[in-house]
Parts: sequence; C-alpha cells; structure tokens
Amino acid sequence: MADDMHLVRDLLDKQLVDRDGRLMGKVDGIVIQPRRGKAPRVTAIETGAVVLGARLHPAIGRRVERLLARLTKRAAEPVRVPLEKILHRGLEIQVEVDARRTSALALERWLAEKIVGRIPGGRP
Amino acid sequence: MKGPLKVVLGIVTSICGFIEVGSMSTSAQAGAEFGMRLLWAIAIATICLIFLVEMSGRIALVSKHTLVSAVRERFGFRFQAVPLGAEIVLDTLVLAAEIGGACVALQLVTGISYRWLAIPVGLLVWGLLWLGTFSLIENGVSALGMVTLAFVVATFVLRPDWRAVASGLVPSLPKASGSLPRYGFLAVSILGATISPYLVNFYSSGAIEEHWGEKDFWPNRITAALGMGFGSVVSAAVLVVAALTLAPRGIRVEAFQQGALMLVPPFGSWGVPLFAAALFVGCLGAALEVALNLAYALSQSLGWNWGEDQKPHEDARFSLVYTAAILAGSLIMAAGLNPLKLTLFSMALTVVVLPLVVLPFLELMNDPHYLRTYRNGWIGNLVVLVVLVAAFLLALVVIPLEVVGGG
Repeated sequence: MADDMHLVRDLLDKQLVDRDGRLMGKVDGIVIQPRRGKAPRVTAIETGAVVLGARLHPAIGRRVERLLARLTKRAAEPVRVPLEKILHRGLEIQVEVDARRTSALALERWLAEKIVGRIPGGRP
Repeated sequence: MKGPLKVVLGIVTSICGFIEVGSMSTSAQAGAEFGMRLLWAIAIATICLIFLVEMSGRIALVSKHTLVSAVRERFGFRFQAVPLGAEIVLDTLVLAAEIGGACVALQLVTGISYRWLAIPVGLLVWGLLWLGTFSLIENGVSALGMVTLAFVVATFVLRPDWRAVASGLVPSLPKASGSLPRYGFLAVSILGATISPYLVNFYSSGAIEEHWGEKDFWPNRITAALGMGFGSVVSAAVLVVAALTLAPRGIRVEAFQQGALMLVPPFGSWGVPLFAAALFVGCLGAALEVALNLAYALSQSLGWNWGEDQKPHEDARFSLVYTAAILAGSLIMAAGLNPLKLTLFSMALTVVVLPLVVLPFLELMNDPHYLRTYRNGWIGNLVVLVVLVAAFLLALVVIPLEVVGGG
C-alpha cells in the first residue's frame, strides 16, 4: 500500500526539522509502547546524542550522557516528539514543534554562550 | 552570481583546490624516481574523480541533501559510523599535513623551522574560517592559486619530448624489477591523493552553500569535468617538471627542500620562491577545505545546523568542530612529525577508506527519492562499479606496499 509507513525506511535516521525549518538533528530512535492484550503502538520519534550512542552500544550511550550532563543537564535529555506532531514526511520529517523550546538546541546554545561567545569574533 | 561566471569561478577554484600537499609531493616523487612513467595514474584517477564529484554535486543540487546526509538517512547510523570515524581521523591527518606543507613553504623562504610556524599557520587557517564566508574563502583561494600555474609554464619552458609525455599515459612497469614495490606504492599514493574523499564530500556541501538547484545541472557537470581536469593538468605538470629537472640529476624528493629545486632550471633564482608560493597557497586552500569538510561531515551526519556563511554563534557545534580539528592538526605539526612522511602515509591510508566512501554511490545515485529524474545512467553506474572494485583491490595491497615501498 502506498500509505504504508516503514519505521526504518521512512522514519529512522531521517533529518528532523521543526515547523520553521530549523534543523533539530536526525531521527535517532523510535519509541514503541507495549500494551497488554493489544498490539504494541508506535508513539514517538526521538533525537539526541544519548539515544544515538545507545544504538551503537548501551555503554556508549551512558558515556555520552555523563559527558553531556557535565556540560549542561538539558543537552543530555533526548527530544521526544509524538507521532501526531508529524506535519510532513519525505526526505525530511517536519514536526509541529518549536526547536527552541526543546532540548534539541541545548548544546548548541550552551556552546555558543560559554565558549564561542568568549572567543574574539564569536559574539553575536 | 550569473551562470557562466559561476562556472569559470568553480573551475578556477577546483584547479587550485586540486594542487595541494598530497598531489604535489606524490607527483614530484613519482617524476623524480620514475620519469614520465606514472602519468597514467594521474589520468585514471582524474577520470574517476570527475565522475564521483559530478555525482556528489548532482545529489546535492537535486535533493538539497549532501552526500554524507544522504548516506546517514538511507543507510542508517550503524553503516555510517565506521566510515565517518575513519574519515574524521583521516581528515585530521590530512589537515595536519596541509598545515605542515604551508609551514614548510614558509620555512623555504624564511629559514624558520616549520615546527615554530605550525601554530601561527593554524591560527591563520582558523581565523579565515571563523571570520570569513564561504565565497570569500573560495574566491580568495582561487585568486591566489593562480600561482600554481607556474608548473604548467615551467613545463613549456623546459620543452619536454611530448612523445615521452604521451607514452607515460599508457600504464607500464618500471625497467628495474627491484623498484616495483616503490612504483606500486607511488601509484597508489597518487590515486589516494587525487581521489580524496574530502574533495568529494566538500564539493557536495559546496553545492548547498552556494544554493545550487536543478538549473545548475549542466554547470555542475562542466565544473566537475573541467575543474578537476585542469587541476590534474597542474598535477601532471609537477610530475613532468620533476621528471625533466630532478630525475636526470638523480635527485630524489625525500624532503620538500629537494622538491623546491625543480623550478630552478626553468626559472633560475625565482624557482625556489615560486615553488614556496605555490606550495603555501595550495596547502592553505586545502587546509581550509579539509577543516571545513570535517565539520561538514560530522554536522550533516548528526543533523546539526551547519554552514560557513553563518556566524560562529549561530552554528556553535559546527564552528567548534573545525576549531578543534585545526588545533589538533597544528599540534601534530608543532610536535615535529615529518610533513612529507605524514602526507604520503595519509594519501595511502585514503585508499583504505575509499571503498566505504564509494559503495553508497551505487545505491544512492539510483534512488528516485533523492535524484528523481536525474538518476545515474549505465555509464555512471559502470564507472562507480569499476572504481569500487579497484578501490577494494587497492585497499588490500596498500598495507603491504606501505611497508615495502613506503621508505
């Protein structure tokens, strides 16, 4: 069927953009909820270095989490976007979210403020 | 910018991006040790490069996704993790080699050891990226890069036997059978220096930076063919000049100081400064491109915001990746690693990574989601397949060749 959505082919690893076209990262994970007596349900897509690291190996995920949490707690939190928020699905996955209100750009902003801003020529 | 001007500029940039520490040192060594005999390696490598670069530009201008981005999206992170990691390590080594080449160029004219120059040159590279824009870097490098045409002029001044030049384009084995490993090693190094993965990825990102669209389908083809084609003419000129000036005198290029002598017979006392200027400009341009490419590759694989035209605080992750890479490259050179040895080592290592870089082309360039009606024809697919098989075979022999023929 043309409308079928394949999780790995059509969602995983695709570029995630917010409603204004800001790059939020790639789709690093897919959240599936098991339900008693019913078929499991796909609920959300996730992005974040911790999710991605854990895909290679759980230990890498924990490493990345500790490292990021040391810089800023927020950067270690994966962004979870419910499936209902998907606006458009193609080469990019556009979601009805404002990236600035999620933790997707937390590391970017922390680095911009704490490091780039302190280097000559790096201030806005 | 208007079409034709854009194409001309693209071609000039490619010529100048082409001639950098890798192609200059492999060509100089090949010419000094084997005369015109290895010209075929440059020719074959250039044809392969033109095809790969055209494809990486085409996928970007049709889909607005770069090659690295598309590989992640289509093949997943697990497939990409190994080649990406390898490319980051390799780019860092090549970046160190380019910074080293620029430092050696300055050493040739000032006499100050390259180790002391590594940090200032690194700062220059970083400052240009931190404060500059994509077009400033591209146009600046191409304007300065005209100096590399000195090698082409030198070729004509020296009046080579054109029949010998032409016969070098046909693959042949060296006369002394004992020199076969060295010959093989240099042939592989030339292939690695010419078909550099960084160039292919960089070109793809450049198409996005310059907002190329479907109307740039033909400009992309022409830029790829003529730019890489002319670039390899400069590279071939280095080989021919080395064959005419260094080989008869029995000078082998074991350090850049010996390579610098090749322009003395045609240009006299201008020879060494011209060689130094060409080496400096070529390496500076390549260092800018490799540093950017490292940041492009990581950002695109992880889906970060990226672009040289954005201010560093707008894409902090991207900017800090190239900052860290340049710092690492400068420190490697400041530690006193031999720049020429590092160059040859990383060029040969490139060949090991190459199959993993070429493999996705087979699938991606035929994917209608990315290329719509601009998919590969049978010629394109055949070339990719041939490059892929050749790259696999070369990757198998490169380690033994490195040991036997690298010295």
